[in-house]
Amino acid sequence: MPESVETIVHERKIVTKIIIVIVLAVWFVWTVTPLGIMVLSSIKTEREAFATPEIGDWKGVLNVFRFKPTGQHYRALLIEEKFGTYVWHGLTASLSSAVIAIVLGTLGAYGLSRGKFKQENNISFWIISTRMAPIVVVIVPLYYIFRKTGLLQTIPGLITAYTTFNLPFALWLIKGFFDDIPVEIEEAAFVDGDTHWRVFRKIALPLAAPGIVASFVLCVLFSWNDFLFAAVIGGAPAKTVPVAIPELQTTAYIRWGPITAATVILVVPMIFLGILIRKYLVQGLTMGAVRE
Amino acid sequence: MAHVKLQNVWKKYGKVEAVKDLSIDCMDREFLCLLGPSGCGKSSTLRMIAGLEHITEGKIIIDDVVVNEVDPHKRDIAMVFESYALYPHKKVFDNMAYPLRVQRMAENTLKQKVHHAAKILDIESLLDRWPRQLSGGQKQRVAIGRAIVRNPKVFLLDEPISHLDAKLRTHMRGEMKRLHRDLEATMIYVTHDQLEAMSMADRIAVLNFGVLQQIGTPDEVFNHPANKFVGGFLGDPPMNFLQCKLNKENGSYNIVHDQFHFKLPESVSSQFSKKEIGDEKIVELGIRPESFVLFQKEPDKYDISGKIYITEPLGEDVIIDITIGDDMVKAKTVVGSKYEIDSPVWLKIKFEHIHIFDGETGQSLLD
Repeated sequence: MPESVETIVHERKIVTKIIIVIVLAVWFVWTVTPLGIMVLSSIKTEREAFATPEIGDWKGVLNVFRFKPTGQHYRALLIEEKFGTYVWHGLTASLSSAVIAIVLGTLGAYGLSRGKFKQENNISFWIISTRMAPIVVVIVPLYYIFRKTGLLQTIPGLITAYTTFNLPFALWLIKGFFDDIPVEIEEAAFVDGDTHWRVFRKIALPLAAPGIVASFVLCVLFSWNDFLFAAVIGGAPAKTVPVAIPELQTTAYIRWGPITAATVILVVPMIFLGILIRKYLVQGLTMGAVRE
Repeated sequence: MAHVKLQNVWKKYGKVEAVKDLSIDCMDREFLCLLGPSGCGKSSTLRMIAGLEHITEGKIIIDDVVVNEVDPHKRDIAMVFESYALYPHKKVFDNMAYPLRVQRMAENTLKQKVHHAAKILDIESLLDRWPRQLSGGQKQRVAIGRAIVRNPKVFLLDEPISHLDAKLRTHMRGEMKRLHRDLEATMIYVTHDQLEAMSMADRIAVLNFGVLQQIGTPDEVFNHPANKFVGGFLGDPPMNFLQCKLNKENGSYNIVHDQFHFKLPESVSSQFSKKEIGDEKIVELGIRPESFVLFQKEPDKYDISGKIYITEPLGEDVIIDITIGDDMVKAKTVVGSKYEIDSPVWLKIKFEHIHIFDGETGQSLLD
């Protein structure tokens, strides 16, 4: 009888595989199709972009891929709409805020992870609690504070606003990575003759690097994609891409071509960052150095 | 090479007292073992010497300098950790070179020293590997290598071989001892394995609950344990303890148990007389499994009779569990005769090897 049991097990394996492939295929179509249509539409004329087939006309689906590529929307965005400036604003604000959050967050995380002081848990909780409220809750008081301090409608203002949200987030994320480094590795370095600062730089930092890079990318993502802070605090002088896109929807008509092109501009840098994060999130660097 | 002195050292974690009033003098070039069960404060002591743990009270002196407030990196010590603590992001060569790079040693000399250390430990072929590619024994060698590349004043070893498999552990015991001889180094070695301590150390400091129980050569702590704890901790299988009463009769002392009684030899009695130990004192009679002579037929003269409970053959030796009334003892003898379970057995005691401890304090009543 063993053969039939084997066949059943084998058949089950095949069925599981088929189910997995189907689920993945549906998920892939579901997530990638909108992106694909967006990218294709951004290099089509609006007429071509809206040449959708009738319902049931499956052959007409091929029309989606029948077009002459054009850069007119990108040209319109970059030259007429000065999108380059908005991209620049967004990159400056998000990268600066991420750098500040990561530098301060790494130092803070190391302190919280390794230091021993009173009320440690309460301090940690307080830090993350600042991130619990949604942005909308703090936007009005922040607006008032920023107006009083002259930070309103400036890039430094935007950087400050993003940092208030990025810092606690980065600190908590990086703290987890420091917590995972066995203390003995650092102690070994102390005994080998290193000062505390050098142990931090040469041992702790490289070992937590994947976490730090991942946190950096997530901080950039948060600020780059942010709409609310940019709209309320940044305003016109510090306009970023997410704020500029809705403005392409004029009272007369919706400029679908430029909108799709602008969305591509918004998404592409983050896709690159996504590839980065994937590379760095591969953990296991600490595995094997310390007996498990 | 250095002289390490602990003077009335205390370590408290909040209300928990991990090390209590510990004074140890580790001589230059000595191999000193800190031995004790887990949680006895031996690792805390080592970490205080390393400077990784703050000293609550007392002084630690390395070569006439009080190091209480000296940072670890200024103490010139090397330490091998129980978990090896290799740098996972550095290859074996760089792991071993790390303490030398810290000193900004010229790359040429550095290379020479690393290769020399690797040669001693037979790990030259591993220099180009990552720590995660090594087996436990190899990691342990690299960890030792990282300690011996430079010439520190003191080597601190925190159970460095306790996680290796039994065969490798036995091998490494010899290697460590030889290493100590070749390096002419002061080594302080922490272990919970009495066999490791016995076989390697010049002197053993036995700790329990943060208190130093006894310090002495392996011979001293094994043959002249200061108290019941030391007697019971060293030796495998451990010493047998039988609660007895001491009975004084015509100037000589007798041991009285509900199942047996015998007269203590003159050498012991005279010691007791000198100490004016009174009549009817409760004592713990300590007899090592090796200190029994077994008879399966009733001899003319014997000290204790009992019944065989079970036998545990160990190849060359056999351990025999014997019930004596409500008590149970383990006796060790060579394999040969067949010992039937539940059959009677007669024991003679090698009196020159017995130990007698105070029933209340556990302190040894013998010199």
